[in-house]
Amino acid sequence: MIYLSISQWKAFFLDHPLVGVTNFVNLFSLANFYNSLRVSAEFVALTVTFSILFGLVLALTLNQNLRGTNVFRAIIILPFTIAPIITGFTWRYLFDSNQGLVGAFILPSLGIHVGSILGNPLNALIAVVFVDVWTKAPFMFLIILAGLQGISPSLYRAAKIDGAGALSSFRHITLPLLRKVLIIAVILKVIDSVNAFDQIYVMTRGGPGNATQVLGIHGYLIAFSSSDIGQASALGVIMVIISVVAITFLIRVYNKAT
Amino acid sequence: MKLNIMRILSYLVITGAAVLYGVPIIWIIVSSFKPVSEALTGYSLGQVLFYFTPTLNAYSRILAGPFTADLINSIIVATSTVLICLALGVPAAYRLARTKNAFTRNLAAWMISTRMAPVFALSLSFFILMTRIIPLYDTVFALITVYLTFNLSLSIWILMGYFEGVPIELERAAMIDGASRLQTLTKIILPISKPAIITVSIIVFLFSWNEFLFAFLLTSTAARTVPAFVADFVGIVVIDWPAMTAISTLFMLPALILLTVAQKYIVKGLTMGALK
Repeated sequence: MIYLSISQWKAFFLDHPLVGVTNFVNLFSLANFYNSLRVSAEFVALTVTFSILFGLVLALTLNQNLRGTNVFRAIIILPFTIAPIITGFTWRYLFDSNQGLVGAFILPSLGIHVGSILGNPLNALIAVVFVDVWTKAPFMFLIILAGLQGISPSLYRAAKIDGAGALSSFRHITLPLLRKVLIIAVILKVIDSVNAFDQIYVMTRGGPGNATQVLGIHGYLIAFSSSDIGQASALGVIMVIISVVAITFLIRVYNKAT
Repeated sequence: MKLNIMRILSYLVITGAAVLYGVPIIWIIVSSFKPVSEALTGYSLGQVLFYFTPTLNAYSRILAGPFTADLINSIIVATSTVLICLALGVPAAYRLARTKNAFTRNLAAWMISTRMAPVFALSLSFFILMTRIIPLYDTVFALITVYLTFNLSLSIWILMGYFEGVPIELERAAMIDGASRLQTLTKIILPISKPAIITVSIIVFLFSWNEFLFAFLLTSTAARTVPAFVADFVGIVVIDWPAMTAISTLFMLPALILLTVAQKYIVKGLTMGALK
């Protein structure tokens, strides 16, 4: 890790003379930088919220000894174990307004005509968020389920004897005992969302325009379309700072919870 | 009565989720056997899904192209990463599990720090490193090196947790019988630790098999793996959907197989990394 962090700093200066903060100044003068900050912020907020909510719903549902749990679990974990690049492509195909199952068949039969889903800025962002939630919610589900299974059933029995309903035992037993696990899930998902790249790249490449240009895609374009690795590294440093601040904050919340 | 409603609701949620997760995968597999892709307007769901003459045309086309070489690269990279990870990770984890000091206690924090590092920032330094300093660009060694740095700490950590649970009396007994440290490790510890080793192998394999960003940046043609190939392929404006779906089907096979035969280990590996 130490070696890596040294080489990361070197990346600024390898070909160039030392340029000080020029890369950062240039970066901050780009309107596109603020756009990608905003897109990333939206992306992180939406994907974290929905993947954890969805994961929680699935985990609560599956935590009651229903039949067929194993088969179901296999079905929903599958997309998570497939390369994000493949699932991203899969959805691009499904969303295709001409040949895709969702874009050309299901939505029109429901009477929804949105035209090209990935070609419209707002729809593209929703689609990208949806696919990310679809892929990552199973992982959140696994973590939360593991947390739920660590809660002793005797607590629920005691609550039932005391006359608590399903809802109040969820509020007073499940949620407080699950808080630690939920915070860990949030931490992992925030890291994952800040670094989002694969699926967005294969689905939209940050387009249309720059509607889905999250920080990772923006950095990639700076580095390899404008061939300015120094400036892209500056963006990389900003991403490191954002992650560190967010994680430090969440870990503080975590320590308070325990 | 109220319980029944809850039950029905639960099954509804489960069925809905199963459809949401199952249908896209089935769609990809079914589409890969279609002769040509066609517009879907004016068909019923049954026609869309099943009314066509299945053909292996797409498969024979892609296997004749550069895909085969990339698939072989993927296999080489993923299996060597797993093997090297185990070869280095098992002795390291064993030593660490039997040593107690400040460093080994803080190992978890180190482990998490390598996993939290923003991949994009690291990718640029690796790119510079591999193109300018060590000439490994576009070789499988570049990818194997990168994947090792991401996976070795996690592997050591999972194995260490398992080795710590193996009673030390077993080792003492073996040593009294005249076994060396190495013999104790290979004859006693390894056979008991099979579950941990399988878990680590699967997690590392899936990571290396699926990784995209580094594969994309650090290779061009000679060492390109399938995810990078897919990105290049999708770059073309008119996409050959049957070929793409055939590639996807072949590429998701290992995950499909592993999930059916070793679901337990995958779940364990995924949650263990997060929850200790």
